[in-house]
Amino acid sequence: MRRALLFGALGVVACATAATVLRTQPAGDEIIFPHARHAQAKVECITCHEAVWDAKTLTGEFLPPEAKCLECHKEKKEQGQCSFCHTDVKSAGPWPKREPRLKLNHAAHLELVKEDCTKCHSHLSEPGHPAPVSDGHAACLQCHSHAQQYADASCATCHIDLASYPLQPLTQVSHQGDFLRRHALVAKASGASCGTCHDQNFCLDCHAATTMVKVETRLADRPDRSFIHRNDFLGRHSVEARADPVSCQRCHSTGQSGFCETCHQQSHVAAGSPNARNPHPPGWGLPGSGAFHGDAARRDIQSCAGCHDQGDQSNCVQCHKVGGIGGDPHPGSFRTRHSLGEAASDGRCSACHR
Amino acid sequence: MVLALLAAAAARADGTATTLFDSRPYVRDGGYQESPVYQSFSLFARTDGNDWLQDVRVVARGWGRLTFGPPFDGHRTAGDVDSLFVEGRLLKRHLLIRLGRQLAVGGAVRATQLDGVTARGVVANGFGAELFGGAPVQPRFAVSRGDALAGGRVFWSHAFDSEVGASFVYALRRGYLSRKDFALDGSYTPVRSVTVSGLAQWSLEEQRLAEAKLQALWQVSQKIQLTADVQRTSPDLFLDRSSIFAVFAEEVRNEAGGEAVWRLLQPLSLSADWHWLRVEGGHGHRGGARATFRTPRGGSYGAELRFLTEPDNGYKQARVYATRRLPRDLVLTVDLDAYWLEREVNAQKRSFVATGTCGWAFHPNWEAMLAISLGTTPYFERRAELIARLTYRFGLPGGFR
Repeated sequence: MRRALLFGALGVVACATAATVLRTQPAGDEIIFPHARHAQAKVECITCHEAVWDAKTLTGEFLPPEAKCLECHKEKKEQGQCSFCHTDVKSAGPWPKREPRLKLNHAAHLELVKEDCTKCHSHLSEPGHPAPVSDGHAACLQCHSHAQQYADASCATCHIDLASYPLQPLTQVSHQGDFLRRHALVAKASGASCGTCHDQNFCLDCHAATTMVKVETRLADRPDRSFIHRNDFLGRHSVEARADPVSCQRCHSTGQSGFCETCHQQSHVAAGSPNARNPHPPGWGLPGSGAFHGDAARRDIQSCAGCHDQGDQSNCVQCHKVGGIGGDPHPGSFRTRHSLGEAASDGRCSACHR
Repeated sequence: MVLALLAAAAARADGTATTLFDSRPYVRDGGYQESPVYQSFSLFARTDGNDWLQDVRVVARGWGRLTFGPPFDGHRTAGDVDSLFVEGRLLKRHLLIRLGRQLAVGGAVRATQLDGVTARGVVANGFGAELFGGAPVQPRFAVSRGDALAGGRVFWSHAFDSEVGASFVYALRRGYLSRKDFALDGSYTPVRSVTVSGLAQWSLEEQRLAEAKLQALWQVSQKIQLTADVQRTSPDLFLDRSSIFAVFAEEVRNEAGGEAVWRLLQPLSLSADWHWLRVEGGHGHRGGARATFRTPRGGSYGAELRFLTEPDNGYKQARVYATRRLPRDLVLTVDLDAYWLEREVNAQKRSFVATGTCGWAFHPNWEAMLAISLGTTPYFERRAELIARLTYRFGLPGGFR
């Protein structure tokens, strides 16, 4: 019974997926309007889009009504040549009403661009060749610097409802899904494209070594955004660090002196902290015990560094120097890549190989 | 003062001043609350420049802190500068020069905060180069002890969304070699719905692969997006080569998996991801599923299940959150987060944190937020945190706002 229900549920999901993927838009009427031919005939934009000139929002009707077309093409209608304007005569109708998605003051912009509409609308649709109304961000950013809005994720400054946008149009700038993990590779390969929208302060929210307070605290009122250290990350940080040490080391390398020690000393689990408690499990000193410190250190040396990064006074050196009781600590392949002769010229080696 | 003068001369200038109070526990069992007040300031100013120097920008952000009661790090006051640079374009915008505290990004350098200079130029047909050099930023103005970093990247940008590059970075820490890496990277969009990105970073010092990653993203339709990725990293090569710990750390970690996003309905989005991972001690998995519902008025509701397993431990996590916008520019949020560990950490297996916030944009330029967070976690039997934030956004004459 359970299996049947499971298969039934999977079937519903599969059908819905297929319907979503394969669904084609039903054919409907479209108005045939050759922008290029009208421009050639010296028809000014204002002739058809008169309402735009005084529009302070995008909520009005800016496409011409049928009466406007008939001022020049009256004879076509009288001759019954409906297909002169309509692609689907049977379902012919007016322009479909569109909900505005942007906050845009046409009146103010037209004044700034001296009524040159092509500043923003460089490509206009032609019959059989639909085009976006404008060049999108590129059109806006040629004049406006919205870096602070982007930095604050204040998209609503311009966008009325960003979530209503589909996944497309550009895969390169798709922030859908787990973009937090994906973004590094995008930024490395084409950081300039990120810079189109985000200024450096946005990146520094997470990547600054000097940060004031973690971004999860500063933006506590944004539970919808993805952050690495949200809520109780502290309790599970050792699990995350062992599963993906690199993700920690990208920011919290041992070069950032004091990052780990500060916390561990306050928690009394660091060497040298007052009334230190031993944080190590039983079997820490016994090879093969399952909790042997050598295996743990190889997997997660960052945890060790949290307390023991004391240079030559490090506990590692004390036991693992040549002749020490700890023996050779190097990974198995270390000797195949390094010769003992290198020890003389490498400051790290001299800590043990004096 | 210099910033103020630059901003005043700018054609456009925006900024924010934020006051943040954060009272939180820092010793287990609710022993002490640390209660610092932070004041931060950010500025972005831009002017069109003149005939030889165009698009001049000044970006700055800094902060200061005053702690009431026992300070966590032993310092009652602290402060720092996150960014402070001026940049401009020369040679008819072909050459960008940036000078000051900045973030070096791209190719082998990863993301490194730097006190130095960057020059980026595009020669022709999308071919260009970027060079940078300086000292890695020392938090709280600590004294640099022989730290330096230099590198560069040459690239060919075929289009806005397709670029390939080769890069190099050389870094010293305390006078010893810290990193010497070479990397190849690329991002290619063969058709509008597919993007393939990759990176291979080679440690010239160790003659080993430090990192290799390949990911492909396919937007099947306007409602479905699929992602697949495979990654290999050498964790020891992410540590400073000058650190003694670099010779102890594990050398290989592999990961492979994918993700699917389905915009089932206009306001409803579902996503699921799963990755297999291998570390030297064994293997594990990470994955999860998330549903997000967005209302037309800017509210959102979400639920999330996640898991992570690695050879030593793992956890399962459940989270729900809601954001609701009310009249008079009030915004309420709730966030409930719980996870269950497979093995005990600090003799505990469970964690639960509940956070509620109330935000109010009481003036076009002013915004206030209050957050209260309560919970019980492996390190805190009882945990309470209070956050209060006041933000003032300003635009100088000629500014955007």
